[in-house]
Amino acid sequence: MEYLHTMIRVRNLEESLAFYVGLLGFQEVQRIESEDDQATLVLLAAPDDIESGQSEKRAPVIKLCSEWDEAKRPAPGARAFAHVSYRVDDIYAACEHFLAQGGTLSRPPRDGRKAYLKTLEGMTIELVQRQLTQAPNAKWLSMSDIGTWND
Amino acid sequence: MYYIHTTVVTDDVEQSKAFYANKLGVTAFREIGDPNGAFHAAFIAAPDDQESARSPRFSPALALVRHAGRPNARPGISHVCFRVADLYAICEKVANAGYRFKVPPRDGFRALVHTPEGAVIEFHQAGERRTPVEPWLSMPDSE
Repeated sequence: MEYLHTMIRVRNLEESLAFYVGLLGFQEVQRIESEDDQATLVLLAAPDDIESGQSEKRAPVIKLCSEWDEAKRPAPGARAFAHVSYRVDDIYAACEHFLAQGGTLSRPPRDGRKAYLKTLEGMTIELVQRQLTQAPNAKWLSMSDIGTWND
Repeated sequence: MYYIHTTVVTDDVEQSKAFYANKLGVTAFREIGDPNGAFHAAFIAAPDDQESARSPRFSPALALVRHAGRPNARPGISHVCFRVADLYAICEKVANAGYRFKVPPRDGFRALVHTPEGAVIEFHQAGERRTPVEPWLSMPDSE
């Protein structure tokens, strides 16, 4: 299990890139137009994290999330931080353990690739399966979302 | 400049620490605090990040923090923190570009800056703390 990124929801991607890239010297190491998230995701590495950010590790970075639907972007004054993300070797084992310890999954790992959970402080943690997607299995496929995440 | 941690405000550092350790296996590698208990921070790292976290790099980590003097601090992610070679040079650039300081680098060690998203980024001076100087010394915090 390793730290990947902290995600920040942006109101105006150009303004945010001017700050991180233009002013502070962060480098864009990946940009994803995500149909799943209906958002543009931009991974930014700090100047001394660029090599690691560009490697397949893709960490540590900050991930800017710009929703395509402007109405869904955070309102002024709303918390912009969305989640902290970790890569895990076995997402099913991690989620089994989390549930067995009394945790609540906001989004179970139905796709074998990603899960979201809420911490004691009410923040969201994202778990991402390392390497290949695990085959979806019945236990997780039939489990519903509880509450929301990234908001 | 490199990432060191994401700070998470909590009402109870011990309970938060137990949550991450027991449910996720993300465990503490360092704790700091005031003798009077007004400030308490536990730094936690995932299993594969422990070696790096325990090195002088001290990252990547989460900082679980409680400030008794800031009862209104909202639990959850507070800011992301980066270590920089020259704190004052970064802060001058930030100030000249018109961004505002949540906390200017009055102590020569740290500064917190409001980002365009309404988030907060923190900068820590690498190595020795700098000598406190103007204009930072007389600059107030801003919300």
